[in-house]
Formats: sequence, structure tokens, C-alpha cells
Amino acid sequence: MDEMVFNVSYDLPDYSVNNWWVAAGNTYKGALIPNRFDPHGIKYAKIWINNLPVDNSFVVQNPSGDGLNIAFTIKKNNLIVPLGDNKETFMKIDDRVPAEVHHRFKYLNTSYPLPGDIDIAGWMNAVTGDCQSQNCLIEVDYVRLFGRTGNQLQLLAENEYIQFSSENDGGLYLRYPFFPAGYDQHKPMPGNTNSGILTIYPSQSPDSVWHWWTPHYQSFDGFHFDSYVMACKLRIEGNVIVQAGIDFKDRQNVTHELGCSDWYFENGGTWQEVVFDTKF
Amino acid sequence: MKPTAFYLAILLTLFSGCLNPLESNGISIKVEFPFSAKNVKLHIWGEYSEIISMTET
Repeated sequence: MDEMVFNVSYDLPDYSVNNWWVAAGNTYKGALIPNRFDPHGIKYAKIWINNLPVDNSFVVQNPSGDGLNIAFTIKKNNLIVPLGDNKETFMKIDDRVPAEVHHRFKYLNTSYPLPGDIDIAGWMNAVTGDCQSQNCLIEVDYVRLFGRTGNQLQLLAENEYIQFSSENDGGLYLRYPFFPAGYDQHKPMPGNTNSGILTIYPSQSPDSVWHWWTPHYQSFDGFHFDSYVMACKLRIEGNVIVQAGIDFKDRQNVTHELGCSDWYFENGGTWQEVVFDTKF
Repeated sequence: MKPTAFYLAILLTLFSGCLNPLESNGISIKVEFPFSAKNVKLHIWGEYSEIISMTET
């Protein structure tokens, strides 16, 4: 046998999802910048060929360049090896970022804010890595949301974590599938504050996206800043990654995601500022 | 969440008279999801283009 190239499609009727692919990625075009294709790798599912596990070293780009496939050759001794005759383009994927996340890298939706948007909030996502048995924690000093006019930043909302509400300041959201559209069920996000520092333990619920946000800032005349900045000062211990983003909402409470940052990683347990700046 | 496993269907439809590469090489493919996936299909691309429904176990 020379080579076999395949993929697996499936539906999730519980979430109104049809025709998702196990090997998949995300295409950015139109209002989503910068234009690119982000390979996610093998998403959600685990795959075995002849009882041998398949990882992202088997992932190749599809011929149209907007998706992935899985390619392998089987040797005479029944050994499964990635790829075959190398006709396909191997896709190198950063396995530190779980495949299920919507956005692996920074992006901006230039369509937003819409004229009818009246509410803005900054948010953070945290997910544990593969070593879910490892304890991990995040200490958060602050979250701050700014609007920028020229070079002048205006603070719109912040939380210094003198207090924290598990119900109103954060939540535990569905990770498998990751934030499915139209599905908002979540649990309170446990955390405690001490001297203005919020501490959370994402390893307590590795099947959740740990999601917290700034207070909401409302402007019933719409939003007219040149750009926006979401910043969160935090410290990570353990295998957990974090990302910042900004959402607008209109009067009907419909969310318009402005974009999000790259993922940030543990950096020796030192304090770092996670930033999503819409000024590219 | 309890994983849901799917295994390749036993009966494979031959395509254009070509022997299906899975069948001819004794290859089994197993996929496991962390949620209840439905309508799971294996798509084989290339010379032996084929779509095969996978069965839940």
C-alpha cells in the first residue's frame, strides 16, 4: 500500500452542529484579519489505526488549502507511519495549544463594533494543557479594558479583585465542544481573593473553559474609539494557558466578538501582562 | 463526560471495482469522541475515494 488519506466527519445534533471534521482548522478571510488558515490538528477525537494512536504528525493540508486530512502508510510489519509519498503538505502544529480552541492566534474582526452595539467587556480564557492531573493555578492582579483615541488610552472598566463574584465575574463554560454557538449554560467560577489578588485553580475542572471578564461598560451612543485594549496581569503555575479578548453586545444582548490575543503560557511563575490590542 | 467510541463498519462498499484499501490491507480505524457524536463517516480521499459510515459500539 502506498498511502492512505482520510478524514472523519460527524454531527452534534445536541448543539445544532453538522458536518464537523476530526482533522480541521479555521480560515480567516473577509473582515477577519490577518487573512490566514490556522491548522488546529486532530480536534476532540482520539484516533487509532490498527490500535496505534494517531497524533498531529499525521496531519496534512487538504488540496484546497482550507482544511486538513490525515495521511499514513502502513509498512509490512503492520507499523503505521505518518504520510506516504509526501505529495501532501505536512502541517506543523503547536501542541501546547489544545486543538479545540476557536482561535490559536490573535485575530480581529474589523466589522465590529456595529452601530447598534451599546456594551463592551474584556474577557479572559484559561484552559489546562494535556497534563490535566497536574495541579495548576492562576493569580490575577487586575483586568483592564481601554478605548484608544490617537495615542490616548481611556480606562473603560477594570476589576482590581478586592472582591470577586463567582456568579457575576466569571464562569466555567463547556470545553468539549468549545463554546458552542448559542449555548450559554455555565457554572460559577470558583475563586478567592486576598489583598487584591484573585486565585483560581483550573485543574479543579480541566473539562471546562475558565472564563472571566471585566465589568461591562455601556455607551448608548455607540462606540467611536480608534482601537481597544484588554489587559490582564496574572501569574501562572502549572500547565495552563490563557488568552484575552473583547466582546461587544447590542440592545438584544447579541454578542459580537471583536477578536482575541495569542495564547500566553506559564513563564516560570513570574507576573506577566496578557494583552489584546486591536491596533495591529 | 463518558467517551463514545465508534468503530469502522464491517461491510465496505467497493468503489469502481477497486478493492477498498482498508479491506485489502486489514486496516482498522477507531475514533473516540468526548461527546455523543452522530452520523460519523470515514472519508477516504484519493484513488480509492470512499465514504463509509462508522458504527457505534
